[in-house]
Amino acid sequence: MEIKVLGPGCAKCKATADLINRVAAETGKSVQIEKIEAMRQIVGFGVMTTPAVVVGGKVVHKGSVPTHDQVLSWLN
Amino acid sequence: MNETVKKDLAEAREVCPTTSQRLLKEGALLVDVREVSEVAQVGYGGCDVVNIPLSQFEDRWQEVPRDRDVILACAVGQRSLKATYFLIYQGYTRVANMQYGMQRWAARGFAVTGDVAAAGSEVGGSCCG
Repeated sequence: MEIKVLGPGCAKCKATADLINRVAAETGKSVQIEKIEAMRQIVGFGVMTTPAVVVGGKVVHKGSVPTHDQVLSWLN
Repeated sequence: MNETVKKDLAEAREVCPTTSQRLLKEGALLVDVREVSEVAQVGYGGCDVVNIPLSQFEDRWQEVPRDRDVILACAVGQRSLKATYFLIYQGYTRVANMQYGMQRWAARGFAVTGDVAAAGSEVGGSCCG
């Protein structure tokens, strides 16, 4: 599963990527995380608030570090 | 959330404060995306300006006219660049970002409201003005 984490590389963006990796490891799911850090590319998803998460080409979250349960729902 | 449409955005047009002055005199609208508290300290003066803070921009971007040249500005030009790209994403074509923002606007001696000292000072740098 490919997941994009949109954000300028701040602590919250890193925490988001780390959380996704952790939940994936817990559930035995295989995920590939791509970090999108360039502003022009981030806004190209229609997103202004970061961190944001794109799963299956769809923005599923934006503006904060997601919760463990949210990540779980994306992976299932 | 709604279905996402990913777009490859064209590079934003960027103009310095001096060029902005000219465009504003020719009828452009300045959209200041700084927060309300920042604008209360020091604001862009001598031009037609509206304040849409970046924190509210996703909810209020439709207040920006499409049929008029628009210059987006903030303190140093980074937040307004994001807002510029967001408007481009929304299909706006007559938008430009003011590079260097209020800091250089004030340093050039252009009109402000409030306390010019709150604009901050810049070290070095230049624009066409």
